[in-house]
Amino acid sequence: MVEITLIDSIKYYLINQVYAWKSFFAYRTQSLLWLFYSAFTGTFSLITITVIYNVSSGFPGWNYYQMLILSSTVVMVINAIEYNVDSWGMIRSMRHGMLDMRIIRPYGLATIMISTQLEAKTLISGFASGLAIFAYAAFMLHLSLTYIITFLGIVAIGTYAFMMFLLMLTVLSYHLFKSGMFINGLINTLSVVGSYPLSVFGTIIMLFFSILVPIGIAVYYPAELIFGKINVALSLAIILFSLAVAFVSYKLFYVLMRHYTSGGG
Amino acid sequence: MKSRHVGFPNIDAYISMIAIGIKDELAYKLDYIISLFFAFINVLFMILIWSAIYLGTGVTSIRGLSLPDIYVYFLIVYALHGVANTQLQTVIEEDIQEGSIATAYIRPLRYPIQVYMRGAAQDLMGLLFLTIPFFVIAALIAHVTLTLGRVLLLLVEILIGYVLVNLIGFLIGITAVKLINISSLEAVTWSTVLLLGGGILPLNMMPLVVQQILYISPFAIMLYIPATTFLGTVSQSIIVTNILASLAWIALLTVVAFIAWGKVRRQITSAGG
Repeated sequence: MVEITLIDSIKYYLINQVYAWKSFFAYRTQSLLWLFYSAFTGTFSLITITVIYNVSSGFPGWNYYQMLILSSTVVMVINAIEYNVDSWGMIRSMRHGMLDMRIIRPYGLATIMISTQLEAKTLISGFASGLAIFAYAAFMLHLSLTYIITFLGIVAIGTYAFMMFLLMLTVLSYHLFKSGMFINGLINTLSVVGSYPLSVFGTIIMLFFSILVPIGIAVYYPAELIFGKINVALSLAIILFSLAVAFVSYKLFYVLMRHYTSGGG
Repeated sequence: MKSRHVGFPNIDAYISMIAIGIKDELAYKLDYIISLFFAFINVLFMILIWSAIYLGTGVTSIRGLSLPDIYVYFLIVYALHGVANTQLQTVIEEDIQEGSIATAYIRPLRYPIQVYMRGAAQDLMGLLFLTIPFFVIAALIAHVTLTLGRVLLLLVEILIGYVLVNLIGFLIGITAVKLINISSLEAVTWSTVLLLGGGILPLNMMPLVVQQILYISPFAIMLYIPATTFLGTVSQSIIVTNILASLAWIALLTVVAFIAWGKVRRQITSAGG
């Protein structure tokens, strides 16, 4: 039996990415146009926040640049997650039986499912526009490199937890409905909710989006930490919680996949 | 490819397509209901976000809109999501990607109308489950007096917005003949419609120059103008300007759609099956 190491899994992921990017750039003009279009999605939150702060004094306790950090981080996180977990594509591949020939490969199921989603390449320019806005806001706030690296590190852990959660939710949705229309609605909602301080939505909604749907741990709490709104002990608890969410989601994903039945052939 | 034509529109066949579309939509009922739930909950979030801005900073009015006006504004905007929305581009893209355009094309029905009828099922569902409920809620909490004149004006604006959104959807859809995968273009287009149509922010909060441009764009009539007509916070001159501009856009886009469809329909190839 072939033993698959973490390095093998990473290689498998990267090989699939190379293949996907080559396919994407097969039509060069078209792909560049798509990347250009997609970059605009990142600017929508910039426009929204700018207009809000032009006509009012904005959100209490949050200045304009802090809000830009929050909203641009959401853009990056959502684009990164959707780049890897294309729920609709995954459910379609389960429904049509296309997943069946992929899961016999000697890699972990999660690795296979994340590696073989090849349609969402344009999201990378949405991610890049979010990163540009983030860099601009961080520069204007004079954030030190240490702060930025710490922030992005915590965001990365939260993003991983959220990605595992979405992967598990996708398979759960296939089990329950054989469809995943609602996941698009959920992602849209998370894009809206995550772009603003969770505290504006009240305690129940804040807890919901912190514990049950982990957008808060990926975006809001890391932002609160670098702006000194929460202490280090709480941020450590959030990192541990992110890891717990990732672990539980990963385990549930495998339990659900154990009962996977293909929808076609 | 050349489609077969019939002398008179085959109304029964087109209506059957709407019926099939509704059945398709309801094939995954619970999933559809949860999707609707997210539409409802998004209004709540927009209301909470704007409440934080108004209450947190102690202002009673921003650009002539009070907090209760904002509540009603977003309820109407989300109501209009049900009609200022089209599936034409998705239907055409899927037909081309799956190769089912070949079978659709040999039916004795005009392809653009077929596509519209298939998408219309979703429009009807949106009207029934999104637009009407949100309008009722808005009317209940708004305390605005809706005269017959204003209701008719609203209907005209909604109809114009609906026609425009479908023309744009059709034009985007037929680019799939050349581009095959247009999902990114679709996503960006509808995000643009939301932003420039007033779905995220009321347009009167934008800088004056931007407002003036948007009032003659095809986007304002999709969400902002009907919502503010309902509230009675938009001037008659803006409404008239926007309706006239939108009618001009309809004429222009119809001509472009005819010419573009005339050209691309000869290039259609079936990609699969």
